[in-house]
Amino acid sequence: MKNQIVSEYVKYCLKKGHAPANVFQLCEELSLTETEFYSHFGSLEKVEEAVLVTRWHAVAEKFSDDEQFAGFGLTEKMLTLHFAFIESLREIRSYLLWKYQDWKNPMDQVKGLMALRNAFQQTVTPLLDSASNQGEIPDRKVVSKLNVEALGMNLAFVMHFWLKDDSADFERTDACIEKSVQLTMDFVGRNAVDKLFDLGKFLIQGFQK
Amino acid sequence: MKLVGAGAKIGGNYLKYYAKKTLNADTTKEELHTNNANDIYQSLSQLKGSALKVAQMLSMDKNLLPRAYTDKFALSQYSAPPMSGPLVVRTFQKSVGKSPFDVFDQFETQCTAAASIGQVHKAQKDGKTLAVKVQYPGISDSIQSDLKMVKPVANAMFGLPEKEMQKYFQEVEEKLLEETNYTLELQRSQQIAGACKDISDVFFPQYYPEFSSPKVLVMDWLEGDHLKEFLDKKPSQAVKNRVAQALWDFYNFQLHTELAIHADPHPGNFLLQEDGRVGVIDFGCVKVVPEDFYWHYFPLLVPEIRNNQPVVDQLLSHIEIIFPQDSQTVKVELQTAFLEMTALLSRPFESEQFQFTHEFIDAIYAKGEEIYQIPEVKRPTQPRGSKHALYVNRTYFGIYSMMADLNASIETKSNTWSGKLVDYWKDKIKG
Repeated sequence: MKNQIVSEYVKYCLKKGHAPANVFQLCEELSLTETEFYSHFGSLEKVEEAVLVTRWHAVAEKFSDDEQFAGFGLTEKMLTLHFAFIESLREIRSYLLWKYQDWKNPMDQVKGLMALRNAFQQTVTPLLDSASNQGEIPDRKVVSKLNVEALGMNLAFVMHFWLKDDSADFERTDACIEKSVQLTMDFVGRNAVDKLFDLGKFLIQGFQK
Repeated sequence: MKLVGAGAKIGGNYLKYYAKKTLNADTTKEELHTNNANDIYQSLSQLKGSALKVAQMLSMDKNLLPRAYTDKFALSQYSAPPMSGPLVVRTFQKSVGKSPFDVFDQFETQCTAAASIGQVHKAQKDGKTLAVKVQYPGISDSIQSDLKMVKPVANAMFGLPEKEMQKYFQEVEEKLLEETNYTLELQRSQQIAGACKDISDVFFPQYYPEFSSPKVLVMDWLEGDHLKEFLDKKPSQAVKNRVAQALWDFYNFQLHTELAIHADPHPGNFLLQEDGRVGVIDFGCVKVVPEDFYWHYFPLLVPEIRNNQPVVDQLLSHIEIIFPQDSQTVKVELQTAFLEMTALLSRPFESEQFQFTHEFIDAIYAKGEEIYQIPEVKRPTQPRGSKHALYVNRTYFGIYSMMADLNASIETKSNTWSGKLVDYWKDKIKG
């Protein structure tokens, strides 16, 4: 039922060109009682959030017990999640275009996407932690907390790019994902900055002796 | 073949002209001459990807740049970073409709080689090793935008307005975009491989249309060495001659019988076997030679046609080397130069056997230099040379260079085509 409510919400918006003004209007389309609606969602805002969040969860779940995915490096995991999520958004592209037509730049989305951001972090944080434990990425203490934010911003950036993309089969978005995720991962992974700190530490230790 | 003539001429001269103009208007001809190769290299190095390829094609620089630079260019073309595993899988899935892991028994997500606009992955199916070529996403868009960038540069290079250069741009653009269509490549591969199956010592992979799509091309994995590795293993001259003969027969058959040639004689596209046989891959770039052009360009390779002035007049005007409005001096100069170059390039056909050497290639370079001294070549009043000659010339120059690298001695007189060319022009020759 939950999914039905969400897809009806999307349909409603697209057909009428505006979101339902109240729960009653949406329930009428679904022949659903308001009482039942509230057992699934607390408000229309929650339904709206769920449009993206349920899709993210579906993607994350699909890979959670995938053996091949588990064997990937962190970069490949991130790429795979990005590709799969953008792919799953295709079926609601019209809705997203309508909903986010005012997005001028990727940062505008941050506000509108808090729920997605949280869902994303729930999935990605454990992946980052285990990569860090296994030494695949450096543990930069407090700074490491920024990794998940950077990746989340990357996803928002890619979504923004995709909404503006008009290439056949969204080929340019694929290239955008490939390039942007790899760049972000270059910051997340071991890079020149770590070596700089390492050298600094080494020199300081030398002086102390 | 003579073919290099037009390209060599147009290319070298214009390039130098361009180098001179860009660098310094006051630079003297002599200085230019000495610095030429280096300057050309510098100018071209600033271009990337397809832009570089177009500039290279139009200038035929490979033919005229000293060998030392040729290698650098060959490398600079393939600078795209490899696609990640997930992107390869996604591209395959989107294009073929199934995951490569479902289609093949085994699929390596790590690429084994970069092709010009994609990369090659190894796969296994039913005990066979396959090569899966996957195209970079968005490559045709980026070719188109690269081409927009190169136009102003190329115009400066050739010293002619864009409108007059249009036909050459169009030719290269068309070919580059064709290369992004793997469905077309599959058709052509099968067609040429089928037509050439009886040529001895040349073989082709089998192609698998059922797993292929516009962005994915699946064929048998061929083992073998590229020319450089092959030579490093110090094969006997007999084996080298066998390779050369195979290539020679293969190209002449394609051109004179099929009127369509594999126009990318990049050493990576030939897989040389220890016994001297040659595997040919990558039919992305095929030049279909229009009949009309064929009957007017190649007769110049035949001495008895070349020595017949009325026919020569007709041929040179048809292939856009000489125009009616040219002055008598210009006509004579261009014709002499063009025929001399042709005579040089057709030397291999005029004896039973021909020994390719680097001296022969150097003589072609030197002739190109000499032709450059002709004022109309140096400062053209209009574009000269048919657009169809571009890829034909490039191809044969590539073949000549490979022959020289192999130091090959081959049977060259076994051609069946000069007779048909003479027949075509028979009445005229008699008249």
